Amino acid sequence: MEQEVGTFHPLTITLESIKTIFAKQGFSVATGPELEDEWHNFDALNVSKDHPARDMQDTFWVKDRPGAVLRTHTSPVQIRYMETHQPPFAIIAPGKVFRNEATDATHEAQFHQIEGLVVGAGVTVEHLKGTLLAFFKEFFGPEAEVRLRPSFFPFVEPGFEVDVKVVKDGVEKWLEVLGAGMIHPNVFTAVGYDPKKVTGFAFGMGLDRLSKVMFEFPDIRVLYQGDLRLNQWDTK
Amino acid sequence: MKYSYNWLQKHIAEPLPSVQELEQKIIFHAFEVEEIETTQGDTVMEIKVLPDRAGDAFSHYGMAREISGLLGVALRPQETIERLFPEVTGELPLVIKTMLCNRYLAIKIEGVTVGESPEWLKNSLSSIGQKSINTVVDATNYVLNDLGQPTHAFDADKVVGPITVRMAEEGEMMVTLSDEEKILSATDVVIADDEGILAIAGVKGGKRAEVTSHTKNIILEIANFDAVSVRKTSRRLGLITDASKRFENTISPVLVPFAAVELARMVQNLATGHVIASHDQYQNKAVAREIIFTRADIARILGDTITEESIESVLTRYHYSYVKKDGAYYFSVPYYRADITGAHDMAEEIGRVVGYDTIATKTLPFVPVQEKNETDVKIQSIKKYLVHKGYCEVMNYSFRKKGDLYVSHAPKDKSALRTNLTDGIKESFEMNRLNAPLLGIREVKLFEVGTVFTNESESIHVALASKQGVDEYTLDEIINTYSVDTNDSSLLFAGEVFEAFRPWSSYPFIVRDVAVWLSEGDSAAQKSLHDVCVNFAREHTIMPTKLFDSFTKEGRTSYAYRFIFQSNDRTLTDDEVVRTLAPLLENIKTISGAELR
Repeated sequence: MEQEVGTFHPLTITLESIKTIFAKQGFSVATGPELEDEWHNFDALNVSKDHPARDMQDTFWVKDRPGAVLRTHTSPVQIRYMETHQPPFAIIAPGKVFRNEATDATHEAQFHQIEGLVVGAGVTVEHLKGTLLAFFKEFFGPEAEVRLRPSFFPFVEPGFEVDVKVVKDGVEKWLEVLGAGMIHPNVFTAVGYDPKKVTGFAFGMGLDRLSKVMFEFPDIRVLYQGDLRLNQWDTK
Repeated sequence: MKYSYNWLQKHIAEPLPSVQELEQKIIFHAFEVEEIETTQGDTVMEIKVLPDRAGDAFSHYGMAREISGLLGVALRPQETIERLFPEVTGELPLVIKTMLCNRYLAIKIEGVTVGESPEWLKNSLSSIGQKSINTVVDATNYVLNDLGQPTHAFDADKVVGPITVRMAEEGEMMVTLSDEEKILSATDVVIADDEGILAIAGVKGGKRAEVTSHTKNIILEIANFDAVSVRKTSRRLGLITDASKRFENTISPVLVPFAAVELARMVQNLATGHVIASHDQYQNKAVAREIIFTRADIARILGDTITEESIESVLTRYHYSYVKKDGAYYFSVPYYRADITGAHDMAEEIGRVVGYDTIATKTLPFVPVQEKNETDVKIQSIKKYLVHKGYCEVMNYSFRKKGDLYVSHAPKDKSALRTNLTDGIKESFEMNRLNAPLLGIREVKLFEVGTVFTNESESIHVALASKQGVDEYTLDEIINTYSVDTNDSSLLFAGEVFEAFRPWSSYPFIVRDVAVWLSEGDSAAQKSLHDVCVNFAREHTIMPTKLFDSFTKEGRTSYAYRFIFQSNDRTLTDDEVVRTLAPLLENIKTISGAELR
């Protein structure tokens, strides 16, 4: 009897699509631990202990392990990568992250992010815009446009919210899908780079949210139920 | 924070543009506008001010100052303290025993009549969601929301001895204005008198010297406390207040006299009385800062299209003071912008006002060197391998009821980090086994790739579940066990357009098998039966049907079809299913030689 082929989880499908597109722009993949220390998750990213910016993310602290934290974002992978590599480089870092917040149709205590980091001499906001536009044109279609709004993340300055215009069935819609910015000089200093010599940008997007747009999930909580009715997409 | 359009207008010399136009300006050049609500005669905007700007924009005046820069219109000037009480010299003893108090300005007002606030004040406060209490308390709340400076009013006749700013004694107690007992520690700054604590500095006032309708004389506090100290105290006590939120975001002590003028004037207007004394102790003076930057410093962040003209137009619109010398800008950082520390911050100031849409779009200035990430390659390879072996991928929660490591402040049944994937995938297997009729697969075979956590370390595991049981491996073990090819770089997918997700019903399903005898070898009858069943399934059930069993006995062949019924909005009853099936059965009976088993 012919071997029946299994199915991938939709987040795997979305992630593979994203990785493939970034690979074409020369990006490598980087990974890091889910259980982090305070330095990589916060301090090195310019989020000091007694600053209100700490409250921007509700954190799961590990009991009886001072300083141990479930990573609240994939940004610590930036730090780990820079600690062990020299610019120029372009990476994306996908992975699971954790936030201690109430769950609903668009929020989960665990979800996945994809971090992007590009560092080198002469990297500017122009390259951030170009990189993201090229990505979204391939991911959402050639009509995609990218728009930056001012925002704040402690590890970048300037910081942006990035909206993407998608066209579905002839209807235009701006989606808020991504946070980004130019690497803060304090972050470069923390990893031993000279902020006078290099610049760079970082971006972070929610894989679950992009998957929700891609497959039109009404509720992201279906993603982690272990229910195979979720795997509706056949494998070749 | 909620901002009233009318209130913002009070600070701006020219008429504001329409709410829609203002909203667009704010969204694309400053802050996120989360909600707009129209109330009687006013419009209230919920604007999300993030921590970098909370020190200057967490008030109507601060927001108006930002808007005046964005629009290039003039802001009404603030009054200075000299205008209000140039000759006040009365006795108002003040003792400051900690450097965590940057500045303390006290004003004593005698002969007040505390009563109900006028309509305009009630309306202003209610527009931003605050209740009116009495004239004096309302004045302090108004000043807080107007200038961003927290203030406090004490009943002067309930204060015994000098107002003292000191560290609390370990275990000292205070009852707050909302009647909660708070136990303080030696790291908390408090306002006290000879009898004990009057207020927790920068966080919350106490009950003892509360201003009531009987109050005749008051002492107003307009002070500035250390941001970190206020933050620690407010977190530890679980008292996050409008005042603590302002202080923890670092507001300037320069703001104190401006707020003092406004507050004293408001109290005198609303509650009569007259200022008899004021006392300003300013022990940690704000230091004027200057940063130096060039066009090149801004261009290396925003790109080379940034010109000196655009830099200067922004500086001018915001009335910033600077000197240009040999191509460098010597920029005096305004007292209210503690967040501006270098050229990178100026790049933001200039970029956002000029508009990020004016910045060009370019490809990377270098060709990145691509390197392989081993972990990622292994994960991708094993997923591909297992799917081609017929396994279906699930992702479960990292949180379980029991484990080696626990996280704080999580629901009890989800507070441990999983030590294995087996426990989770067993549950998934059981659920999917029961749902098997809905899945249209012959056999449930699952896998999960995920991180597990033990006391020693975290590691990536792979678990397989089938009717033979569950096997769990480390990532390397499974790659070696099955000799998985990790050099196969073929893509899992390539540019497919995926169909939209079909949600499933959360109500129970009912399975009915229909078996029919037909004469052996009657292919016409067999085709009729098949068509009738497939059409029925398409119309009345949630899954396509197909022949799932057949056998031949004594010149007849039995054909069995399976039908799955499920509603999106209720639990189906057996009776309903029987009624739905009836026409199908009637139809089958008309097929030549057919007999229902």
